Amino acid sequence: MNAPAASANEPVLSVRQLSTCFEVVSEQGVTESAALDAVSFEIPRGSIVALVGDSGSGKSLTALSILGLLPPAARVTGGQVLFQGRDVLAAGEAERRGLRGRGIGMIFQEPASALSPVHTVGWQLALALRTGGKLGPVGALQRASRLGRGPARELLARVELPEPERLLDLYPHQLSAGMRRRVMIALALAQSPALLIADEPTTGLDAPIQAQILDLLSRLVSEPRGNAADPPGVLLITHDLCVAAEVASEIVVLYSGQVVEAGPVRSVLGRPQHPYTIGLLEHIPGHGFASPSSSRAGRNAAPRLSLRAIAGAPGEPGCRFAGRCPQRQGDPERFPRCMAEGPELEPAGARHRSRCFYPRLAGE
Amino acid sequence: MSEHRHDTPRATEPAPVDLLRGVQLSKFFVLPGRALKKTQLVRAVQDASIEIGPAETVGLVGESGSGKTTLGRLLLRLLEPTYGRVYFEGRDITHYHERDLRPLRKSLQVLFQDAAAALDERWTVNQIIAEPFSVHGLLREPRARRERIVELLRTVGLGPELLRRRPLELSSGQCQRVSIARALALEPRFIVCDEPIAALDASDQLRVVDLLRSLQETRHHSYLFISHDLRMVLHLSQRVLVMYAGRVVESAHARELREQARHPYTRALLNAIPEVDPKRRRLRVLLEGEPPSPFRPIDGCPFHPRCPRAHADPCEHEMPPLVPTAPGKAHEVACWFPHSD
Repeated sequence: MNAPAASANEPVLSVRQLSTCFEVVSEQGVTESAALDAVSFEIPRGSIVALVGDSGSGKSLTALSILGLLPPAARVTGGQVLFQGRDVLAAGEAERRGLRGRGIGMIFQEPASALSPVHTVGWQLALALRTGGKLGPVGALQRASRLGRGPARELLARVELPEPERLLDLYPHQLSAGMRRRVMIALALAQSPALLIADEPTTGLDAPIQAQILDLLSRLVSEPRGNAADPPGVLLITHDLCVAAEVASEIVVLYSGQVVEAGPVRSVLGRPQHPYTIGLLEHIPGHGFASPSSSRAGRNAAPRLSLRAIAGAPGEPGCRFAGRCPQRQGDPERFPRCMAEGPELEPAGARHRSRCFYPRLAGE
Repeated sequence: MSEHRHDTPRATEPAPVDLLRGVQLSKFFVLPGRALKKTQLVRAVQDASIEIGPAETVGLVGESGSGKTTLGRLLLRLLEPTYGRVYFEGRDITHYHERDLRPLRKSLQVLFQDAAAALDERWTVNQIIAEPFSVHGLLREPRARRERIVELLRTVGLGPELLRRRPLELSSGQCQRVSIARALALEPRFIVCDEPIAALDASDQLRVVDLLRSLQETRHHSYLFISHDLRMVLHLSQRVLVMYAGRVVESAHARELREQARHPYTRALLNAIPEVDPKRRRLRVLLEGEPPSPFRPIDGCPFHPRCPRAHADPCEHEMPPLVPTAPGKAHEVACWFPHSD
């Protein structure tokens, strides 16, 4: 196999030891609460990497940190975010603003609030195209809107919307939920970004439409357009392991701001090592994919994640998952290290890493 | 009307085993015209029949806009049907007035998708769960009421420390549990669960579903489980109805539906379920086109524009009737060219 040129091997995005914290104002004064703890992963060109976790695990915060769009109370405390080799955390605000949209496209979760209700689809696409300088020198938006019809129509065709010419003159509320998602994707693609961040792009969609959108996403990265545009890398943020399994090549599982397991999809879902990942897999009804405990059929056999709140507070030593860990609940005495020290991400196979002292015991 | 006495027997008189039965229910909404727009008639539900037995879970699946929620509300008599009848424990409650419905409300409860929005954000958990008792004038003695509320909280897996909290201080999973506790307060016979897990995290979803199931095992109420997630519906329900454009297009036992779906739409839904296991991932056949708009009624079978099996005749002209797949079978399908095994 011929190795491609070195630059082609370089990941589009490389997140290294990214840490972000929130300032919490309380009666005791201002304290810092760690929200992301040394998160690392890479997104190669033309591949989809899924960031999976429950709400509050830090998925969206990772995206916001990358984009430099953190809320005022949050700030990055350490690490690097290399976009095409450049550290965007070190870059100035002007450079980062140029990156958003042009280098990094964003597909938001809720098109109803991300699209303007008072402008036509064509106008919004023209705006996105003009901002990227694709319509020549910046002129009156009216003119851009007129000139933009051709490219805008092309974008709509690229996301496989029927009758693009007619759609240009419609407003978002006249479109169905699935069509609005496609318009969102078209907007994100307007400037041929090297990286797409898709935050829950199919949440709330019905299954057939979800399948269509996922199919579109995976073809956007596998079949780049003819005119030499590199296929974008995609950071797919989702809470649904099945969605990740459908389209992603790599999975990064976040729990409480830490990567607890990461690796190729086949490996992570086929041989999950961390009890949290195993728990997530067991929460998929009717699935029987090499889950260690799937042989123990019967709905009550598998130990489910407990209903208890997470014990302990952030900043305490020990594994963050220990309080909810199903394998510890049976017999905490057998797992003395969990409460004393925090586990590191350790190799668990080819490019597969897991953060657990006692990996895979859960299913045995 | 003498609701509480025996009506004259009719052909549609339900068998006594059904807790709740809807017979050929239709609900049309009239949207008033504005300026130059004409008034529009939206056929939200057409000709839908459904029976729910005691301690049974019936799943209702379909895309958004297919009429699932409207059918649920018709059964609860939160809406009055345009056509058709609703029976509760054999009584025809189709045209009950609100006054007559009130005693039944104890038995008929509902869980909503957005639990946080369904709870009054200014109220404490204690006040929220106490409200049904106040409304119906039950458990007036404070200590007894308090004990009952704590017990209800425990039933749904929450501790008494939440009593003074308000919905904003709870996670979405906890909010849904509080609304389950509220729904259980009056020991209902029937609960409509309208997308109760759609807003929850993956790890919360199955926990709530398992909670619903274990509650049913001890309390023997029935559920109508409405969801667009066929995976969850199959997991929880004994029988499943598939709705498309306001009509029931297939109904069968969950296992039979999973293994021998006859309607091309049901097949497409099954096919669209994301799979973790690449080996179990069938060759994906994507359903083309958009879900039907309730504003633009389609002639013939409403599914024909998206249907891979549609023929010009009769699919484009005539709505197929919902008929058993074989004489005497509980599996029904509305399709001119259903799949065979």
